[in-house]
This record gives sequence, C-alpha cells and structure tokens, in this order.
Amino acid sequence: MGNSDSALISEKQLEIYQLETFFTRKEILRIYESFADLNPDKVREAFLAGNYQIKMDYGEVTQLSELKFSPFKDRICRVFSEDLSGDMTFSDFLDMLSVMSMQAPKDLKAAYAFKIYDFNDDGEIDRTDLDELVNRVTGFRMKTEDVDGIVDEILKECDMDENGTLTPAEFEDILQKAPEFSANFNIEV
Amino acid sequence: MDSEEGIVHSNEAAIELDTDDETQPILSKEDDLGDKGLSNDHAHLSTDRYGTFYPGPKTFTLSQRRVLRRTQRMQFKELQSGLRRKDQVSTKFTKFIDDSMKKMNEIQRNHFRIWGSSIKHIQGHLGSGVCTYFKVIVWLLKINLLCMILALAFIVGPGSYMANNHAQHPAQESLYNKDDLECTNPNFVNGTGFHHDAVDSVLQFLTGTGWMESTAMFYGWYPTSNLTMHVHGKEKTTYNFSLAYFTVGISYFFLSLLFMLYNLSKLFNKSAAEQFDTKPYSSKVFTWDYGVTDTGACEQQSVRFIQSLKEGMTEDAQEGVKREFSAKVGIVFLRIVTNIICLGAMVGTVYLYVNQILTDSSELQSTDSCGKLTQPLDDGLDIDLGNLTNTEIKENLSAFWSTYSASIIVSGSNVILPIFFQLVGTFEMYSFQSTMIGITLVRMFIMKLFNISVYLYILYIAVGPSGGQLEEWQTPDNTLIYNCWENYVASQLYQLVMVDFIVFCIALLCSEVLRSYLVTNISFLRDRLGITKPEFNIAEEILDLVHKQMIFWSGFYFAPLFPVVAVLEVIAIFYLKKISALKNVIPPKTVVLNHQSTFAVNCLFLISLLIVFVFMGLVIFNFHPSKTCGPFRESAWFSDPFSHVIKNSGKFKSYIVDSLKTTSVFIILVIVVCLVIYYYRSLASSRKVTIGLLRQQVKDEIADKKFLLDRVKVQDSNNNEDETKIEDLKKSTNLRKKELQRKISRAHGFAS
Repeated sequence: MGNSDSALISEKQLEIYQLETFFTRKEILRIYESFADLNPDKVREAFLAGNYQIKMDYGEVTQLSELKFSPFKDRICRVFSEDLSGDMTFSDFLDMLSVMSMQAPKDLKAAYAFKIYDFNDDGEIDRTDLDELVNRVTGFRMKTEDVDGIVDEILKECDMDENGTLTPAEFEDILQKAPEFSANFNIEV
Repeated sequence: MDSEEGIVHSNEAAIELDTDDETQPILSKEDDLGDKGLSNDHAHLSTDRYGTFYPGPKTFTLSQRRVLRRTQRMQFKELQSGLRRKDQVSTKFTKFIDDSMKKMNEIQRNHFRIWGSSIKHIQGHLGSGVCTYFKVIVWLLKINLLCMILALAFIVGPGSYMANNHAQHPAQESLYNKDDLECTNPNFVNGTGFHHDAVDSVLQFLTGTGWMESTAMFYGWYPTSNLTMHVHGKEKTTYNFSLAYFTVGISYFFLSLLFMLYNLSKLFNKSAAEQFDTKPYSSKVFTWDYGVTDTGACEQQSVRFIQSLKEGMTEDAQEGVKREFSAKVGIVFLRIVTNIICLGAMVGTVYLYVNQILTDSSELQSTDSCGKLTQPLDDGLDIDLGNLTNTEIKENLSAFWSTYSASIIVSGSNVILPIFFQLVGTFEMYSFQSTMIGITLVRMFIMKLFNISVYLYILYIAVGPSGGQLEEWQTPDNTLIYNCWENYVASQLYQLVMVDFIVFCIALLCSEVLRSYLVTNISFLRDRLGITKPEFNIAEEILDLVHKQMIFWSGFYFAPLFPVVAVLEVIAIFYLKKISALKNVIPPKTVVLNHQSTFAVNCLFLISLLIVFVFMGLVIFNFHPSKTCGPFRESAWFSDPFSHVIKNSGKFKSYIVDSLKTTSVFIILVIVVCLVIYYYRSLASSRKVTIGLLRQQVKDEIADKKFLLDRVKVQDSNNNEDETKIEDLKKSTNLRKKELQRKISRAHGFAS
C-alpha cells in the first residue's frame, strides 16, 4: 500500500466506483491491491497506460484465495464477467466483491445467487440445475437416489406453481426464509 | 411489495443519473446509447411481474449488458440508502436520522474495525458460526472500552492528580488516618501493612486485599475533596469529584443499556420477520458458506452438509415416534427426577459458597471502634516457605481455602456442571437431538444466572450491617462490621474475576489443548474409541461470555480500575481462544445462525445487566457510605452530592427534579408508553392479516392460472381437431374438384 498505487486510479474513477458499489474509498484501494497481486506487472503496466479494461484470465482470477477452493468458482467468475467467459476486468472484480460484501442488500444477493445456481443459463432453475447444485454442495459424495430425493423435497418446498422449475421470484421468496443466507453469501477481501 | 415500489422509485432516479453522467472513462464510445436510448432499452428487458431485472445473458450485446449492470447496481444502492415506502412519512427529521446512522456505520466500518483480519482468518477455517462468537467478543470489548475511557477520564485521572498534589508523602498516608486504613479489612493485621514479602504481595494481588486496597484500584483510595482549577486567573471552577464518581457509576449502566437496546432493536425487526414455516432442505442447500476458504475446511463443510441432510431425512422419518401410555408415564417420571437432580446440584453449589462467605466473616472476632481485632487472627496469608511443619501447612491451607473458596466454587461449578447436565441429558431419552441440546443450554444459562445472582445477594447481606450504620461502629450483638465495606465488595468481585480467569485458562488447557494433543499423538484413541478433536460449542461459549460480563458489570462501581481489568481480560480471552480454535478444534456440526438466535443472545446480556442493575440499585440507595474511606465519607448517602447540586442550582431546577420524583409523572409515562405499544401492536397484527390474505391470493392465482392453462390446452386440442378436419375437408374438396375437372374435360373431348 503506498501513494504510488492510489495514484493509478484517478479520483474521478474512485468516486464513480464509490457511487456504483457498496465500498468506501479505502476498501476500493484495498481491493485494487488484491487484484494487482494476481499478476502485478501486467496490472500495473496497464493501469499506468490508462487501460482500465485489462482482463485477468480465469486461471489468474481463481488464484484468489477466497475462490481457489470454492466449488462454485467457475460459476462465480462466469456470472460476474462481462463476456461470460470467466475473464474479469477490475470493474467486474469490484462488482463481484460488492455484491458479495456485507453491505449488499438481500435482494441483490438473491438475484445473483439465482444466476450462479442456474447452471444451464436458461433463466430458470430446473431439475438438472438442482441436481448439479446438490452434487457440488456435497462434494459429489452422495448416491444418486439420495440426491434425487433431496431434489424432490426442495421442489416440493419451493415450487409454488408446480411447474418443476424455480423462477427468480420463488427463489427470492425461499431465501427470505433462510436467514443464514446473507451471512453466508459473503466474500471479504 | 417493498422492492417493487422501491425499484419503481429508483428507476426514474437511475435514468436521470445516467443522463447526467457525461464523462465516463469506463465506458467507451460504443456504449453511448444517447439520452433516450436507455429508457427505450428498458422496455425490452425481461422484467417479470415482480419488477426484478433479469437481463438474459444471451440476448444483449456486451456494451448493453455493461450499462445494464451499472444501472442495476445504482438502483440497488438507491434502495439501500433508505428510500421509504409510499405510506411512510419521510420528513426532514427522519432523513436526518437516516443520514447520521449511515455516517456512523461508515465511520465504524472504516476506523473501528477491530481484529478484522483475525476474524476473517478464523472464518476461513471454521465457518461463519464460530466467527459470530468472536464478533460477540469484539462487541464486549467495545462496551468495556467505553466504560474504561469514562472511568479513566473522570475518576482515575482527577483522583490521582488530586492525591499527588495534596500529599508530600505517598497518597495513602496523608489523605486519611493510617489507622483508618487498617480498618478496612479484618485480615489486615500488620500495621506497617505495605511491606509484606513477595509471595504475600502476589497473593494479595490476586485477592485484592492488603496493599491492593491502597491503590487506585479500589474505591477506598479516592479523596473526597473537590478539585479547583483556575481559568485564566479569574474564575475558579470546581470539579466536584464525588458528584463525578456517582454520575459515572450510574452512567456505566445506562450506556451499556443503551448500547444493547440499540442492537436489540435492529435485530428484533429482522428476527420477527422470520417466518415460522421453515424450509429445512432448501435453506441448507442454498446457503453454502462462501467465506470458507481453506481447502480442508471446504471439504469438511461438504461432509457436514451431508450429515445434516441425512439427519434431516431420518428426523422426518421419525416424526411420529409413538409411545405407549405406560412408557410415556415412565418417561415423564424420569424427567421430573432428572430435573430435581439438576436443581439440587445448583442449589448445592450455592449453599457451599454461601456458607463460606457467611462463616468466613463470623469466624472473626468483634472489633473495637476502629476495627482493630481484639484477638489476633492466624495470619493465613503469610506463607513462609522456609520451615513448614504439618500443622502450619494445614493452617495455611485452611486459611488459603477460606479466602478463595467462594470464588473457586463459583468458577469451578461453571466448568463442571455443564458436563453434568450433558450427561443427565443423555439419560432423558429425548426423541430429537435438538431438544436435548436446547434443554441443556437452558439449564446452563439458569445455573450461571442463579450462581451470580445469589453471589451478589449474599454480598449484599454480608455487607448489610456495615452499610446500615450511620454513626455506630459496632452493633450491640457484635456482628462483624467492615469499616470500608465498599472495598470488601470490590475485593470479593475482583477475586472472583481473577479466579474465574485462572479457571478458564485451566479449562481451556485441559479440554482443548490436552485433548487435541492426545488425539493427534495416540492413535488408539482416534481409531478404536473414535474420540476426535473437541467441537467448538458456540452456545456454551457465548453463555460463558455472558457470565463473565455480568461479573464485570457488577464490579464497575466500586472499583474504578475494573474496566481496565475487564478490557485486558477480554483481549486475553480473544487471543487465547483464537490460537486454540485454529489449532485444536473442529467446527461444530450444526449451526443455527439466524436472527432469532442472535436476538436471544442479546436478550441474555440484557437480562444479566438488569440483574446487576437491581443489585447496584439496592446497594447504592440502601446503604450509607463508609466513614473511613472513599469520596463519600462525608455524605450520608451516595446520592447526596447530586441532591446538593440540585438544591443549590435554583428553585426552578429543584422544583423540576422534585416533581419528577412524584408518582404522577411516572404514571403518565407508563400510560404514554402503553399507548405507543398498543398502536404499534395493532398495526403489526393488521399487517399479519394482510399477509395471510395475500398468500391466499397467490395460491388462488396459481389455481386460476392452472385452470386457464388447462382450458387453453383443451381448446387447443379442440382447435387441432377442427383444423385437421378442415384439412381433411379441404383435401376431399380438392380431390372432388379434380375429379369434376377430369369429367368435364372428358365430356369436352367427347363433344369434340
């Protein structure tokens, strides 16, 4: 942390970031530090040249300690990157951490959680998505009959219009009743 | 719904923001959609009827999506900044409060983030459940720090300044009679008092008697005079020290109370909103803990998920465990017996130390007018390690025991009884694991509360005769009177804190360090017996913290340096627990981490504070301050300085204060509070009814939708049938047309 680093992001830029995310100035600078640590030379060069759209590859982003071992790291990177490839710019990175910070409201988190858990990106969470979700959460250790049983239970509990899929609204409703959600859906840098 | 209207509001705001923002180094030229471009685009967005934006990932260009995300973020920020619902009045006052709350939160986040990196480290290894325990420690630290700053600034600072200025000799010798000082503790026999040997001094440091009494630690040392200061040579302002002491003493409690009520009010909102129909499976599956970052911890999380899901499934299967009538009666009887046993254990420990405190005092002989003992005590505190005979050892041990017994029993029972309760719980044959855990926790809490309350009450009784005396030193029937009873109370509590901390360290060593060392090194235990590293039991640890904080609170008034001790102990607990937790402990299997449980924890703190409140109120307002020590030695009551100030500050103020004390004001206040409560309660119940109706409406709508879909299907299939019929008819008419044409052409051919 030094004055040289904070000069790489202009004041106007910092203000815009503060407007758009839930972070304060100090926190944005700290996040910049961890972003830069992923590949220091590349990032510093680019920012000095004024190129703020520099992208970090998926491989580099997942070096972040909070993402390294998470079973959802591919989905997180994909959802938050602009071109859905998993490569993130600094703005995407900030966006991701802002949504997954303590200050983000529950609805925003629920909306993004929906996107993360929608593995086939079709706008709804159906049986295949839920299968994949339960498998990832249990580390692929459960037998298929058990997984099917759990998916049945979940659909019974959540699916209000009983069409076999979860819409964003139903998903949000469920998460209202799961109080640990906002505490657990957090990544702090 | 809230979010719908909120988004409607911020929709407009977002559009305005966008058009105002001209210089955007983030966006490149191709993103410039123009002034109206964005609002047009909104029409194409897939908004479902709840108004949540869900830009389909494949339907928009990169730039459009970027802009969309920005607007989405800003909308949510607007939401968060507290846009009020349409039916709530948004005045300047409420806006001002909202803004100041936001600023306070920001300041707290930026500057007062204590131990943030440690907590994050722990969260990475052990999950957010264990993390809440450490956050409670941080919260306690903040309360104690606040009290410490108050005490140091207003009491200890001026007190020591005054003491040093008034004396040429060390403070304690000139402020009051040395004879008087000896009167404070009956064990204090040696006239030259402050020169015991090293072992003695250490022991006295632990008990808070002897040389400790003449330090700033305890009440007795503080002077009674007022501090006069010259301001620019003209006016003399006086710092009324006794008034300051009294006010600060009362304000400890009010500040802590305000702090806790503020937290409670924030939580109550959220905890009451939690619905009672919980969804066990979805709430487990969708709430993966993203904060866990260690690879081993992630795997453990998956394993725990599997276990809890399986337990959920077996519990469902077990729901109707039906027992026969005779078995039921047997179980009820068994549970009554076990409850009596637990009560008996609690009362037994209480009896032990009550006995100790009361007999401890009565072993001593009566005192003369200054409290000098007419019969020499065995100076049990002098342990001469040189020559010890058997009887001497016995005497020393018994004296040791008599001084420390009460605190040892209280702290020891805190450690031993929970284990006992758990054993009892396993015998009671509850059908669910969770009920057993819940009941054990309730018993533990009652035990701790009971212990401390009785301890405080016994102190109150022990000090009663001394505190009741205004003039006489000695009651006719020779009951013991402490001539500086405040010091006695303070030293007992100080002793309790010290012993409690030592017992805590020993328990930590045995239960965590020793066990994990044995488990890792002796494979027999691990493989054959299946003993693992200890599990971090969050609820028990938090109850322990409640217990400790209760002791701290009760000592604040009589020992101005107590908050410093409290702060040091809290810091020590944090680091010890952190080191032990990171190495020796596995995370707990089931974590119930909702707002209701946090609310319950806050309520526990509140209950303990209220009990301490009652004790302090009784002591301060019922007893006369002692004559030989402390800032109140010239007053008849502790509240005297306060009433003096009121009387001297003019008729109007004293009139107000007098009328405030009358009952009519109290009754009016009570009535106003009741009305406010009634208003909010009726509002809440009407909203509940509305929620029920809306739910029913949703269900009906779904049924309607299904019905209509079915009808559409039927119509469709009818339509299809009709269409096929039309097709068939068309085909047949075409065929017939062709036949007819052939016939006509043949007829023509024949004709020509």
